[in-house]
Amino acid sequence: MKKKIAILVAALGIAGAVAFYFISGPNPLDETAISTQIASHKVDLKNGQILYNAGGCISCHRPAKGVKAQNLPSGGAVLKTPVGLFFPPNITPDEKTGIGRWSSLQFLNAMKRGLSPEGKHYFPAFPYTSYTHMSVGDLLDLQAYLNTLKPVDASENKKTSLFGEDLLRRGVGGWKWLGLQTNEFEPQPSQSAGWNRGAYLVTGPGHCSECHTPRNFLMVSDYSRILQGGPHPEGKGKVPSLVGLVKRKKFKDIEDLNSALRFGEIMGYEDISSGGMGEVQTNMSKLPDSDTRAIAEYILSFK
Amino acid sequence: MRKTTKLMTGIVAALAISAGGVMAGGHLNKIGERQKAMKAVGGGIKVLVGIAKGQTAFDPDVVKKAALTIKANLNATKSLFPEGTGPDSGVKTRAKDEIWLDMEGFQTAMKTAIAAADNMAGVTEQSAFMPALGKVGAGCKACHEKYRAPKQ
Ligand code: HEC
Ligand code: HEC
Ligand code: HEC
Repeated sequence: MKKKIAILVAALGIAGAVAFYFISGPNPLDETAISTQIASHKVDLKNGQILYNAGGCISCHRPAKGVKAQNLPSGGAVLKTPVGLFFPPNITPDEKTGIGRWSSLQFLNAMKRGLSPEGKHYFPAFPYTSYTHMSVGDLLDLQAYLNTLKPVDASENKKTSLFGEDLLRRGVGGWKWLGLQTNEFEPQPSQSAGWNRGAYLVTGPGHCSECHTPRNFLMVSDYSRILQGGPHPEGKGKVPSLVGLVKRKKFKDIEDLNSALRFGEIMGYEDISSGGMGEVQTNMSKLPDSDTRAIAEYILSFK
Repeated sequence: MRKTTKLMTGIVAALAISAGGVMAGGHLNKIGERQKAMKAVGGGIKVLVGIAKGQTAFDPDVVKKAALTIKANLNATKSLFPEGTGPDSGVKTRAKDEIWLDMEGFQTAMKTAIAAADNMAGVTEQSAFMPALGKVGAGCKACHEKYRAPKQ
């Protein structure tokens, strides 16, 4: 009897390991389906730059202190997370240490599936969990824009090194299988064009939910409680709710919130600087007025 | 002679105790003091923002007064961040550990903001007002971004 149970447990264990192996393996984009989209795309660099700013790439991919070109995303500055310290990589088009030689498909797999060219899983400290909702066309424009930046050799950068990293990355694969939603953003025809633009920017490139939406037991954003405030992704403190901002007298109207997003403390808006929000606001100040206004319209629709 | 020694010891002891008291109490009081000073800084900014939004007219005297309020109160906070008044002090504060991990950077941010307020105090032409306000706001933001925790 005991022996039978032991065999059963062993068999289940092996089955579990096999299942885990498959579940945690890479799940890339369908190459044939997407290659026609890639081939027919016409690049719009201006749009790429807007998405670069909306996406806040520089906030995480900034160089370490002391490096001269602080405005280029050559990576290396530390990013604290509960999993450990990350040193986000170089995303300038340097051929050796950056992503200059990446194909469109490789870039799309990184942004939409969290997969490296070698098929390794990225940690969700890289918010592909939000970028996955972006359109293929926008991501191709973003890649084209990145490729216009000055290449920076980042061979001196510190590299991420986590305890048990390879196994952890397989674990991320399992987590993706359970919780990652990779659906592309779909506009709601009943809402205005501004609202939909705002919804897209907030959900996709802006990745506002990474901080402002609470997480469920799988540690993925719980969209049933969208923008209701959450734990800070760096592990300490809380991020405020963006629901009922007008009712709570935080902002008067769309105009007022738009001004806060564009100018922040320059116009005396004081609760929009700390805990990473200041960098988000700096990035948003570089967007066209119509885009920050759209974000304001969308956010204030959560009464 | 004996009496004076005793008296001296007594005085020294009393001084030591009261000094200790001031140290311990004053130490944590500094948190309240700097928050009060920062609130006054916030009051100064409100006046300037009112002008920027066109709610009140541009008046060099009003601008100067508000800018000097900001400058004086920021100056006052310089000495109000002693060791031991961070997030582990037991008193509610938004000051982050980063202040004491990087005191030099913190004081540089302070200097930049004070210089911006000083520059604002000298603004007499309306055309110079918005650029000057941009500098002041950037000064507040640069420090709050790094060294102050969110409100919640
Ligand atoms: C919140 C921080 C954060 C933001 C914002 C962010 N990234 Fe990253 N990114 C990371 C981290 C961390 C990694 C490494 C993940 C890992 O090691 O598993 C990464 C990795 C990458 C990679 C893989 C590079 C390589 O060499 O493997 C690409 C490409 C990338 N990011 C592009 C972007 C773009 C484009 C944006 C802006 C739209 C962006 N990232 C914004 C944190 C961020
Ligand atoms: C060099 C750093 C620094 C600069 C410059 C700075 N602040 Fe602060 N400020 C802080 C810190 C730290 C706190 C949190 C203090 C605490 O809670 O103990 C704070 C708190 C505040 C508060 C909240 C006060 C309260 O407790 O209610 C306001 C308002 C404020 N600052 C306004 C401003 C304005 C406006 C400026 C620019 C004119 C400015 N600050 C410049 C560091 C700075
Ligand atoms: C890195 C985490 C992070 C991201 C990403 C982020 N926020 Fe924030 N946000 C915060 C924090 C923390 C605060 C509180 C700041 C403070 O108290 O000084 C905040 C405050 C705000 C506020 C002010 C709320 C109030 O009560 O006054 C608004 C509005 C806001 N965020 C909008 C956005 C939008 C829009 C996005 C996406 C484009 C976004 N945030 C992305 C962390 C984040």
